[in-house]
Amino acid sequence: MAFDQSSSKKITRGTLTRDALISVILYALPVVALVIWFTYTGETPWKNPVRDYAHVSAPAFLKFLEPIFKNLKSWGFIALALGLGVLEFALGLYDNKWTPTERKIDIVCFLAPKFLVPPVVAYFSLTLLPTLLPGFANVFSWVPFWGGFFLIAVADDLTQYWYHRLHHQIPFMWRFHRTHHSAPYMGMAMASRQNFIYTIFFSQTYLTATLIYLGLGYPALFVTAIKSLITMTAHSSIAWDKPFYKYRILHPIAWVLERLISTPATHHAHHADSADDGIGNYKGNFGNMFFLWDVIFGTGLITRQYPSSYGIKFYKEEEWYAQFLWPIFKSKKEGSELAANGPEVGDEVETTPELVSA
Amino acid sequence: MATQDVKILAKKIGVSILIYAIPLAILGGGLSLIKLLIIK
Repeated sequence: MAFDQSSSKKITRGTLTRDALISVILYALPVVALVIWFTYTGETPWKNPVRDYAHVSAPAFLKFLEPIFKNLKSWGFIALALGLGVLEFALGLYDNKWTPTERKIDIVCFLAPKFLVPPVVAYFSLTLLPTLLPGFANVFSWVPFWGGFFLIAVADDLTQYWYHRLHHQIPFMWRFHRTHHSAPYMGMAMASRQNFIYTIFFSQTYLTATLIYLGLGYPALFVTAIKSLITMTAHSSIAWDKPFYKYRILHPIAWVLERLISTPATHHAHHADSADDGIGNYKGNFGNMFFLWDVIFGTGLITRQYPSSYGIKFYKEEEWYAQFLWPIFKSKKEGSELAANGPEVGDEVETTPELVSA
Repeated sequence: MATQDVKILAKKIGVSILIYAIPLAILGGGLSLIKLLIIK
């Protein structure tokens, strides 16, 4: 089960208010850092007539990496994801769980957004933003590279943390996120396996697009590429983090890594179908690029172990079209959360043991 | 889609807009304040 039914009852107004206030401070941190920097150095880059100041001030080593990141954004990640997928298959990590239904869902969710999302984001960036915020294009292009990097990293990923967390903790939102958790396995395809409405209304996509419009496009290139890399490998069935737990000499690095970013161990725990083993934590571990948010808000669990099974207890292997486009298309499976009169959250319904998937 | 679904979708979009607008207000406001406070 992946919806936080038990804790949703315990989520008090106080907890949300506390975490929201902490978030305001976290969002403001990069701005405060910039204020301190400009006060200390006396720099006033906004007076500089060079419009792309951020680009000009990028460190030399990043100039060297720039073509790599540009290629990653344009075609590199698709190639990387496919390569990783082939490797996962070669290692037999999907076992026999990749049924025809799962196959259709994974392929549709991987391919369709790559064609459908870019035109929407392009319309938002090139038509809607100039209409809503005329004259604001590149107004913050004076922000130095490191400041923009820090700002975009916090803004994009903390926003996704909240978007993700609320889909687990607010009952009516759960079914938009359910598809991401329905697979009984882990793999690179999980990173893109989402209901389309969940994907198209990703708040952080539009926030980052707006910040790019305001002049932070260059640092955004680096942040979004690093984020994609971390997110993809955290979902992969290839546990790249294992050596860090195995070898004692690497333990200090592991300690930092697992608290800073999402690793296969912590993110697989989020996809577990149970929390009873003390390893699974579908009630938390919401972080995407940074795990740090889970550490700060107390929603994280670090065990350095991997769950024995994944998915959701009330999964009925619903049709691909229902998983991809609910509520536009409904499942015909009786009692499904995605059926026309299905329950909002599966475990609100009394079930007989045979209905509970292993 | 039934009326109920449209309502759920509208509420979901509302939450998305809220999660988008709050950080944008903090960051946009903060960066604008830098110019106002330090530019002298």
